[in-house]
Amino acid sequence: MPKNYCGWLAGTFVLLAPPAFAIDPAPPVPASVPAQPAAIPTAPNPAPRADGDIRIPALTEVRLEILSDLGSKISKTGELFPIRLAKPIVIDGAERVPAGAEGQGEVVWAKKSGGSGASGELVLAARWLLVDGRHLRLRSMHLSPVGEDKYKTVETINIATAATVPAVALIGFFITGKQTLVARGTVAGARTAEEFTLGGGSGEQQVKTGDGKTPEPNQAEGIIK
Amino acid sequence: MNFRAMTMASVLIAAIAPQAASAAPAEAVKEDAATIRIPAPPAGKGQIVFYRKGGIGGSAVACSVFEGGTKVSSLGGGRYFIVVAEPGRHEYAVKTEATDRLALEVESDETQFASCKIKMGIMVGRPDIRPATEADFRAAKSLKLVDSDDMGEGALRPEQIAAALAASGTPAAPAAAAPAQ
Repeated sequence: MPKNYCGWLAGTFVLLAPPAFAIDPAPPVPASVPAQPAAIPTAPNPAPRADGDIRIPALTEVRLEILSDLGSKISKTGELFPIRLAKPIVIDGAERVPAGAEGQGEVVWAKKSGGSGASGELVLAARWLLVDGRHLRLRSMHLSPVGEDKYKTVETINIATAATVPAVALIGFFITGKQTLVARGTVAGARTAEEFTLGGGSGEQQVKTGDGKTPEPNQAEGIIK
Repeated sequence: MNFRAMTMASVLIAAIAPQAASAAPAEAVKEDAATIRIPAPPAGKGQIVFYRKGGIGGSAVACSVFEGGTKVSSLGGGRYFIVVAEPGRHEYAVKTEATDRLALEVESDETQFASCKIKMGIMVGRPDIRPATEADFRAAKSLKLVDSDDMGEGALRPEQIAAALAASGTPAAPAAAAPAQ
């Protein structure tokens, strides 16, 4: 594991490494929302219902605000975090779910920056919003910021020292990439994962997921596995 | 051999040669990453495009991508492959002298991207796998599809990519349709 090597090398070569290279005090980089992936399906037009219920189609776009600081150094894989609907959900020109509805997201992956120039990583997912006392499941947040790496710095040192003092190249192990940070208040896009009927909280409604399948009971309730 | 026999032999060779060429496995050709055609995943499933930029650093070492102990594919410098996956969390590992991991949330009907890089190591380079975007992938200049021989379970073969592109009405990607050279 990298940490083992770094610990061993830190003990062995600490005198070789100038203090400037021992630890890179690079500040966290604010996250930028990456481009949406290819082939994102779009929400179908809501069909009118004979019973008058209002439904939010699967794959409806939503804007979510992240309510806590998240980062490759401070977050852990599997950690849950609070979110809030940043803009109301509008169906047929009418506001159906007001901004402010609260919900939950999950840190799918968090990895601190590491030696040899590796950057911090964070993969986030939106799970649900609480609407009408029920969980409206979410998907497709695609907030996966990566910090700036330092591979080029390490490679430059390796090349520069290879012909002179090869051992000095080992300081590359102690050069870390930057952490990544998603600050509280960051707004990101996501989509509804299933058709959701407003006012239909009796438990008798038919819920379908974005791929047209009927979800497992715990999925329909938005429970995180 | 008289002239008539030589002519017949030439005609015979000309007739057989294209069939022999088409029967050989398609060899991946280098493509401009900006124009590589990625098929949509099968309905209800998602997919991930793993890629690795070309370059001198770690060029002798492949990022071998595993999921749950099963090899998905090797990934040499300047290569890419596509893996179709069920929606949900998937954790991938890349191994050389060290192991690095990455978990992604696969969404149905969507394509995601992940890149691998070989960084400085003790005996050999160490792999670093991380999330990427389509923009990152398209900026990778030229890439080749991983050769079928280097693929494990789950990675789409050239013929599968060609079939998926044909099914979606998109012309086959050069990497999948190019004849043997």
